[in-house]
Amino acid sequence: MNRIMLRPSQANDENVDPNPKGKSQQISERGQRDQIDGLTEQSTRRNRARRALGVISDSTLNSRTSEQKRSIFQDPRSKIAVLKETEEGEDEDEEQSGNEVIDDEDIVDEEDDYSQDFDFSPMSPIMNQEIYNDIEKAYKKYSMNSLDPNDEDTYDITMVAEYGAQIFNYMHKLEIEFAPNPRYMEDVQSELLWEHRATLMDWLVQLHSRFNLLPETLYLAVNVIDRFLSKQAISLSRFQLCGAVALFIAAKYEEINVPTVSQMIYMVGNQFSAAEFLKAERFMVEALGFEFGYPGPMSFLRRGSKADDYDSEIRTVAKYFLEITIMDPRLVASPVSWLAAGAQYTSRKMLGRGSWTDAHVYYSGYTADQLAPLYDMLVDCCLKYKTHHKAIFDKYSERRFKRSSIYVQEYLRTYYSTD
Amino acid sequence: MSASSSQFQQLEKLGEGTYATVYKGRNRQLGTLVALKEINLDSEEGTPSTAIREISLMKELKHENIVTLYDVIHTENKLTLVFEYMDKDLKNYMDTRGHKNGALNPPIVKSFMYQLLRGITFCHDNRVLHRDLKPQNLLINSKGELKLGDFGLARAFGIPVNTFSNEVVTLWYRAPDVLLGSRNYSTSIDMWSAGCILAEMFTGKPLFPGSSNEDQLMKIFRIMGTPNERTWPGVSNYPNYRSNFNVFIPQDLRVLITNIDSVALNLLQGLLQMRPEMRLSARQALNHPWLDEYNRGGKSPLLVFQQMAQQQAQDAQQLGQGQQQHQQQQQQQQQQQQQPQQHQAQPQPSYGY
Ligand SMILES: Nc1ncnc2c1ncn2[C@@H]1O[C@H](COP(=O)(O)OP(=O)(O)OP(=O)(O)O)[C@@H](O)[C@H]1O
Ligand SMILES: [Mg+2]
Repeated sequence: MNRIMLRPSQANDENVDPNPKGKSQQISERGQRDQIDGLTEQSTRRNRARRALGVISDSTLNSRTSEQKRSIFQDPRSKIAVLKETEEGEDEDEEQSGNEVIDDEDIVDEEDDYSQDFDFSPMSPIMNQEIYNDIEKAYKKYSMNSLDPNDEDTYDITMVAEYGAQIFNYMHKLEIEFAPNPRYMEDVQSELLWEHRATLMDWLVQLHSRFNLLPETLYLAVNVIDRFLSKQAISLSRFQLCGAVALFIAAKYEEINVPTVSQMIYMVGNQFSAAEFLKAERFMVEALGFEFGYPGPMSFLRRGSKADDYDSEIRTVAKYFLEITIMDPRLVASPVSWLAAGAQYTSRKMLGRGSWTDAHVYYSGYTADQLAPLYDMLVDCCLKYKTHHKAIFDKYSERRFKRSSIYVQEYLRTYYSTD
Repeated sequence: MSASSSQFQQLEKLGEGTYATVYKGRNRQLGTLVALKEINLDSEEGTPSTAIREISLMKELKHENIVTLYDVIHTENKLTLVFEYMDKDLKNYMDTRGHKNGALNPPIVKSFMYQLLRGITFCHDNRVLHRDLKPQNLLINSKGELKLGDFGLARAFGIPVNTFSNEVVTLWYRAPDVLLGSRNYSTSIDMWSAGCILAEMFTGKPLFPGSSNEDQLMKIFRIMGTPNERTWPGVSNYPNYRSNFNVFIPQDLRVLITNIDSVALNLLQGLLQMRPEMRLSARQALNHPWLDEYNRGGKSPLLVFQQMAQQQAQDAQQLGQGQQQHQQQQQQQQQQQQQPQQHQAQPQPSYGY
């Protein structure tokens, strides 16, 4: 188990670029040199590559190319070097760079730890008559035709109580509409692997933290990446650019204060010029048809918490589990309301807060039977947190997150005796 | 969304805003009119967040009281939003179709208010705050349909509503809690604007035409009364609250809005509540007794415009006949005599409300 983490090359510096204006000068000079239209150009090349791959089954492709790509991801510094080399090479000779990806016959077909570990089947909530009846029972018990005068939320304007039911119905509709293709790696991408996505997510979490952005922005950025990749094949060398741009777009949609282009580029270690960055933004925004109404899991999590009287420990640990879900290929297209409920369910279980009541079913919309598979999965992810979600683990080991990830490890040590 | 700019012939300028210019356009193939909102992309920061939000939200919000976005044309240095063409914004409408002072006839005020509230309700139901409701951003077409436009400041919200910027809504239509520095506003921010617009339609004049944040608050306090801890518990906690605000007592709105009936006044008071949690929601306002004729009565809000158009056509016809057959018959002279009476009756027609 030695998956390699891609670290943001500059993200460990103390501050975000103190002098972004000074940087942009250099960037524009570089921008003139690089005439290549990153994403479009790359993608046509990839499509060609994909056709050439014809007979090789996806699983073979996975294990082989991941072996080879690993070397690129080995070290952030060396990665930058390789990226530049590759780009310049591609400028001059397309075919040669195409070969770099396809021509891997000489690579030893070795057992790949990552792809062996995972069953990539997409996960979604089960539904049967019994579950349906349970949900209906909970709804009958709790749903009201008018606002509850004894509920504090009725008087809190930020809870928009009067519109709550309608808005949640609408968000349930949106979470389906905005789901990416759960098998885009196999269906659309030729060069990328799920493993690369995990590496990018790990990096994205750190970048997101460095800019002090809202949780909503992270989840939207992840959705933007996954929906974009469901439509467009891109090269590995552009993957990090895609991630950074997705965060930039998500911040524009969600935040009051948005990082500047030069700050973004600085955080990506000045690998890209401002022109390239903005070109990629335009390309992605257009590919997604300017549609960013993805509802994200935070509102669902908050609604479920009502059944816990907004207990902050349950909520914080649940936020840890919820964030883990972005790392996992199996949950790429799962309904976010289900993931939010699963995170809360798992949190309550580990904190020993009793059973999943009818109130929980009512506010979350899911029964314990529907959430149990997520519990098992999240436990599994936490048992191998070092390879599964190191950045998120570190983040949630901080005091501002009540050291949730450490609590979870202690729990697992007691009940699952790791090591 | 695959239009190209050559598809449209650009006609005269319709309006210019802070970040966009709007032109009238014609679809070369179909001959239909459109409005082309052009946004410059010369910024170093790429696609403006206002455009990202506006397009994303407009693509979601399909409703008869929200202007339809047909298409987006994205070129190197320009983003063009292709909207359905509307004849006027409400400001123009009041200036050209209202009385001399810009005031609208009560049946028209009622129709527009009903359509405005339907549009807002749809936004709020779909977790969108408009955050810039004002007459210039409400568009009217020849049928008398009113639609919400300019979603440049709009945004989607979650539950609970996050903290947002308080640099929103044009000053005159900005709610007192936002002026006092609140960033924890939600749907009620749009309802205050709706109240201001309702009053303005009756009088033709903006209700609170302030010149600065401070002046805006004073203009509001002068009419609604200066709030205190007793009338508004917690008001002293707002960032911009000062204990030495000039103290005004609430005025009777009827003195300012002479042509308002008591039922409409009740609705207006519900919208112009200083405390955001006391303000009527869009749905509550929509169900207000003043609008019963549309709700329970099932009357179309466009009927008043159809009747107006019929009346105008009749008048024109009578006038034409009168001129042509000037000296013909007594009957027609009688008709001509009736005409001034009909004109006088027009401001208060009996449409059964
Ligand atoms: N669909 C349309 N049909 C007709 N006129 C329109 C249409 N859309 C906009 N206009 C006119 O153009 C003006 C400016 O449009 P809009 O408010 O969308 O632009 P804006 O740049 O966001 O304005 P501002 O920043 O000043 O609020 C409107 O007030 C209206 O007069
Ligand atoms: Mg405007």
